[in-house]
Amino acid sequence: MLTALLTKSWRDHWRGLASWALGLIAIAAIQLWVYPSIRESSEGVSQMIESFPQAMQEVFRMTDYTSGAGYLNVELFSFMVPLILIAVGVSWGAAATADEEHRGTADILLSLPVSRVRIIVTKMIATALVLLALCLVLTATLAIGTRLVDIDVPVTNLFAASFSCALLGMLYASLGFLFGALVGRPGIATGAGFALGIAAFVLYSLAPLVDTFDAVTPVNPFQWALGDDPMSNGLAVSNVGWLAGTSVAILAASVLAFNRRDIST
Amino acid sequence: MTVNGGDGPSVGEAAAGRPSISLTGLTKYYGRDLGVEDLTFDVMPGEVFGFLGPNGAGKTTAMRMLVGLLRITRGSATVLGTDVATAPASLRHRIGYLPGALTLYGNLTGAEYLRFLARMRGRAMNQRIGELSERLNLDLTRHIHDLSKGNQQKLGVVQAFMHSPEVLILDEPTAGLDPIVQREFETLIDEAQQQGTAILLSSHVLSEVDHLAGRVAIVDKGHLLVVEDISTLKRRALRTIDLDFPQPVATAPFTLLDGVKDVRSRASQVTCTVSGEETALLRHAVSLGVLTVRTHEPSLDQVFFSLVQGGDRHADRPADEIVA
Repeated sequence: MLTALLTKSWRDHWRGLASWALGLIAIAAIQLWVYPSIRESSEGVSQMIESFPQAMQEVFRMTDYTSGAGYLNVELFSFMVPLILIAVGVSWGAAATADEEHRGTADILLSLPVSRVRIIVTKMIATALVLLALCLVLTATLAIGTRLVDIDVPVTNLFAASFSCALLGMLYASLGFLFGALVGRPGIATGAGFALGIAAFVLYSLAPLVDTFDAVTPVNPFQWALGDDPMSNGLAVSNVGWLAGTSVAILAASVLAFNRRDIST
Repeated sequence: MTVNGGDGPSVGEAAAGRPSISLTGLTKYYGRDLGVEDLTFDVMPGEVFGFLGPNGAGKTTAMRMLVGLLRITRGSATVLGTDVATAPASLRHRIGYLPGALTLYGNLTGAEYLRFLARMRGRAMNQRIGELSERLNLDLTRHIHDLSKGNQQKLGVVQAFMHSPEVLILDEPTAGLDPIVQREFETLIDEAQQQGTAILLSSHVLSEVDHLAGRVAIVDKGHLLVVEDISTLKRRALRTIDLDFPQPVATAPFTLLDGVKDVRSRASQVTCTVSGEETALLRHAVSLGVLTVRTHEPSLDQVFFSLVQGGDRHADRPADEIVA
């Protein structure tokens, strides 16, 4: 089987992965650590937030800031966590085939008696499992941390929020795979995938203020991942379906593109 | 010993005298740019076939189509009787490939890299790997990024040979190998040949394939110039000959001889180039009491020159080798 390739992918990147995992743990821990003082001065904080311009409150979705779930949403899940998981996903997807091709290691890899389809699909599985692992690390950190600072959010909801972001990461990973398979250059693939991620983030964030942006919100992946507040409401089947379905469609296109590709020297 | 690692048709075809590698009008365009056009030749089981041409002539392009790295634009290629355009991945169990610009995973040791490839090939090959690396004097415990270019090339050779393939496609295999290792490499080629392996071996230097290959194909600018026995080719090529005489001799009579050109003399030495038969030249030299005769091996440049200049690209070539 291709366990050799699977384990090699992880082994090659374990340092990077470990630092992303530690980064997630660290920012979650810091935000949880300062939460008690925010809660104690909740009245002051509420007044402060109310003094912010309405636009800013909407952009950062600051309603309900002082509740545990609201606080985590604003501080972790509106910006940091989704973008970290998108960054990990895009870079894994873009590197998967394009980096091998760009460096030249693809020459021998693809001369082995293993089809290109199996190779790229194995790398997709490796990427999905990496994002799932980061999601579980984050969920575990939050599960422990929220108990320590008396935030009352069920573990299933912590998981729901983390998993939504992991799916969002996978969607952009699939764009990394697609661009990588189309152009064969990891830099271009990473740049293009991440740029689309940032663009969707900006559209989503500014949607409450700009009507034209709001018009595309129903098809914005950030809306599928975060719009229905999985931290408070759990996972919605339709949102998971949109995220997963779009990813699978893009991944399928990537497989086709890679299978037809001329591997450059 | 012929190892059939994959499924599908096997040794039978070789026994029946079918070519192991067969190119028919093989053509590759990159967009509108020509890679190679209308390459046609066969490599038989147990044959070492030289693939010659200057850098950028299209050798690498053709070889990459054979292993499935590039898609074929037009024409076809078969390896072991299977069309490479539609071949299942398992065909590559029976192919060993050494790419021209070799890049390996620098973060692995040699042993880890070869073990990874063996696992991907679905077979343990420890014994063969050990034997090959010993013969090539390759240290498998070091990280690849710490290895010299030559040692990396040895790893490339090991991975191409380790599964005892029936077809070897080697793109400039001796690049960076020192002379001792090069000799061991030639022994490996001989052994593989004796086991019936078909070997396609590219180079931009004639002398590299000289004593290995029986036949060669020469390509230039994406086109096949000739497919021929290497000895025939060299006989027809321009050679430089030095003749030493006891005393200075007149050069004018030499220039009148058939096939002789560029006659120069210095003191009692005459230097000229010859194509084709040397009989007339030698007869004349002997009549003048020649002391020594030195023939310089023709370089690939000279072979090209005679092929292109002579305008006899299709002359004295056996019918079965004539390019469609």
